[in-house]
Amino acid sequence: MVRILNGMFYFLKFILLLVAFGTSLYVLIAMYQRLEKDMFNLIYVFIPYAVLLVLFIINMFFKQTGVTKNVFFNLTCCLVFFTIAFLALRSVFDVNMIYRWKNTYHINFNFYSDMLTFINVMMYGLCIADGFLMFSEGGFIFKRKNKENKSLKEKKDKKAREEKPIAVQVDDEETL
Amino acid sequence: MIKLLKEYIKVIGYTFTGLVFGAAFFLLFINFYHYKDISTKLERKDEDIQTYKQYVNDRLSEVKSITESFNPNLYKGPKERVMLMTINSKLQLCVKEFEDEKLNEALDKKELTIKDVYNFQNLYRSKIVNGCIVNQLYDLGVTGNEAKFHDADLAKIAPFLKLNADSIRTDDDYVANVLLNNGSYFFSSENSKSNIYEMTRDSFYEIRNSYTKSIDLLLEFSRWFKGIV
Repeated sequence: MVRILNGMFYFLKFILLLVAFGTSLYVLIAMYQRLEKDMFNLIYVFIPYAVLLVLFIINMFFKQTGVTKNVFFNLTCCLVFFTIAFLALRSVFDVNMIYRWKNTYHINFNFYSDMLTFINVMMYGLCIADGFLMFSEGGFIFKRKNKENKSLKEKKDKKAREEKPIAVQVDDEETL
Repeated sequence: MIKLLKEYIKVIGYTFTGLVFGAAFFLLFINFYHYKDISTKLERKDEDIQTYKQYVNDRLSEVKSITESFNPNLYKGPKERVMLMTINSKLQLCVKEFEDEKLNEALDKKELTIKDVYNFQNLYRSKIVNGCIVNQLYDLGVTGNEAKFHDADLAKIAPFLKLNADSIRTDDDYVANVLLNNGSYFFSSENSKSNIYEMTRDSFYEIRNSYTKSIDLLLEFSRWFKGIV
């Protein structure tokens, strides 16, 4: 059951990361256009997204079980990305927040910029947590050691197979 | 030693994950509750809507009958005919603004959210405050050398006109500012929930009071007009 849940959250976090990134990008591009700010500065807002994506790829590539098989971490990732997407969508679709009507873009930038600090805190928090958890189960060293163990085991198995006596087929008539 | 270090790393990793989990959980649910809170609807009684509609219609029909009864071609009094024609057309334009379909729809709504109140306030400001009070009646309230027409009767009613127009002009400023407060506020509580409901109710009735004041001013002015023609 836990394995199924973990597998579900593991794949969901990649999808939700994309959704959170897309919705945030939409709101922030509109916000920067509205404020006539330099679009280049958007990169700084999306640094934690990029860092987290790189960390996820490293986790996947090195099969770091401290992260990939950690249900709590995967669930937290899903919750964070869902929250980010929810906040972005709320700033676009919640018609009862009056600031949405005050500016002509029909997006409540005031609300979203209030939430940006929380979003950054959560994203950097996930990066730090991922960093620690990837080393908790050996990190990169653990895999190399495992490889060494594997090759040693293979050699031993080979040797054992060579030393094993070959079974001789005995003719029934001769023995009789 | 390494095993112990790994255990510590694990604990720190889980602590950060827990903190982030808490923050995300808090932010998600506080926003969900705020979303629910600001969707609160104010329900108006049918009786209230009908009574007020009757009140407005009575006043508007009186103003209309006064403007329709005036015929500049038949007027043989001492007053300047151009002035009377101007005042008459100003009153007619005001009635037109009061009869605006969108404004009446907003006024007759049975269920009101804060967005409806904001729309009503915008319509009231553009149609009544700007379209009627400021554009039509305000310049008639100017006295002295800057006055448009130099008439003794008009000079008598001018201070009343100016005073009321000034008051109506600034009446909804406070409401407009209060309404904008719900956009960035997100820490929901029972107190804020009731505040939002009260804000919807109070803002609506505040704008409606100002609307009543405007229509009363229009009626008073048209009665004065009837008296001089």
